[in-house]
Amino acid sequence: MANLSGLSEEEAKEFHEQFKTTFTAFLGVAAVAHLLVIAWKPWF
Amino acid sequence: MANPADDYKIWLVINPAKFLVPIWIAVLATVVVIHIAVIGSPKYNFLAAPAKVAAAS
Repeated sequence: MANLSGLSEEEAKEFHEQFKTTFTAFLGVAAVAHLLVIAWKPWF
Repeated sequence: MANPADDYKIWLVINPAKFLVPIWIAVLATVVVIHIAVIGSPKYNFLAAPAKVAAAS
């Protein structure tokens, strides 16, 4: 049975691996930015 | 159905070929709104605040 998106299980898993990698990098950059702001002016 | 093991199944519902760029645009819009809010706050306006290092020299 075709999925709603048209992707197969394998294609979805393959794309999700790349999505997780890129999203983890995005979180890393955001974490560094937040640490810099905390060092500059803590907000708590 | 258990997460995060089944997280990938979102791509069985939405096709990244069609929705990845809209997802990026939504993230970018969120980032812009948050930065505008931060710049709008007097305490955290990093554009107006003089850098301490520059001020010290």
